[in-house]
Amino acid sequence: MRAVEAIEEIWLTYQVTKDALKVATHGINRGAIELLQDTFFVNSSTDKAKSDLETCRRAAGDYAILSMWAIFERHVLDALVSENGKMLDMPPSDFNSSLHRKIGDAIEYWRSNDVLDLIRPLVGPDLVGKAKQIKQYRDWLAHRNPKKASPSNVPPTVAYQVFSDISRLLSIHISDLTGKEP
Amino acid sequence: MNTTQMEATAKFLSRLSDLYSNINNWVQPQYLRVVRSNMKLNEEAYGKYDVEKLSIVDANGKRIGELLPVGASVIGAEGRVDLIGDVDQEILVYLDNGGPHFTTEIEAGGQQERRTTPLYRGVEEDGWYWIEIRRLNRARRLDQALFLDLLAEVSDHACC
Repeated sequence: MRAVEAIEEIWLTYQVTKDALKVATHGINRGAIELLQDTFFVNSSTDKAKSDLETCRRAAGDYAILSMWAIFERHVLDALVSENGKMLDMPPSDFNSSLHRKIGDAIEYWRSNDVLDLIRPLVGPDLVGKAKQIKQYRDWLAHRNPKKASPSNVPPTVAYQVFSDISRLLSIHISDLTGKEP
Repeated sequence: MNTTQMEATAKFLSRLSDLYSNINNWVQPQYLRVVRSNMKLNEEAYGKYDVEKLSIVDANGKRIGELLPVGASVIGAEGRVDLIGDVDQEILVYLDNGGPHFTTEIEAGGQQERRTTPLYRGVEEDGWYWIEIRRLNRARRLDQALFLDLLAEVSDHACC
């Protein structure tokens, strides 16, 4: 699956999750046992079930951002790998083959901000800047320390749009390189 | 907190206060009232500061919804407050006229193409907006009718 589609799927999952949580809450509020049978809600107190749903609701956006980042980061690294592959278009030699291999191995370990700086000429500074800020927020979500101040907040819709836009531009670039449809 | 940070948080607090005053007026005809209480925010950009959250309660004192400030430092907005109910939550953001824009620069056919696109459509004045996640890029200015719809949506409260 292409990165743009994968990000789209996460976005859809986020929306459906929100709706499904809403349905479950309606079920609990209205005591609709037929909706709740065979779920763990049946043996929970109403307060506990509602509080669990509330926790899930708050977490849904965070998980969407974490998941979208994972797909996005992989896509950016793949774009660098494709670009690096151009080196072998030159007449292959021991030199360019070993350099290509060396860079290919190292790419996985490059810092995210450095990787994002590399795609700046392809997508522009605005999107790169936003992606870096989202990365900062993503790190805070992943290692959340209640004592630590939160970085700039990221509404899920903004993360979705930034990741989608960059991924689309990268796909166009990769397709130019490989001749495959973006 | 330095002067710039204080100005930024003061602006956010003032915008929140305006929003809360509007909400107070909007919900009164629905026999609902608002209750303000204090909480703290801790943002990297501005440090710790006091902020008010707003509960919307019915005639029996039952909480219908809550406006919970998230922060003044928000990517793609000038502040965020979440409307949280029993059933769902919605994100409200403060946007300046025109809203944020992204500039993308791509090379196509050997030519550099520069394109500026708004993050949200429909931002024609400064104010609080609700972002429709099902219709991407569409920001809707918060007014009484929209707010009551959102409150009903997140709370499952019949009167709104």
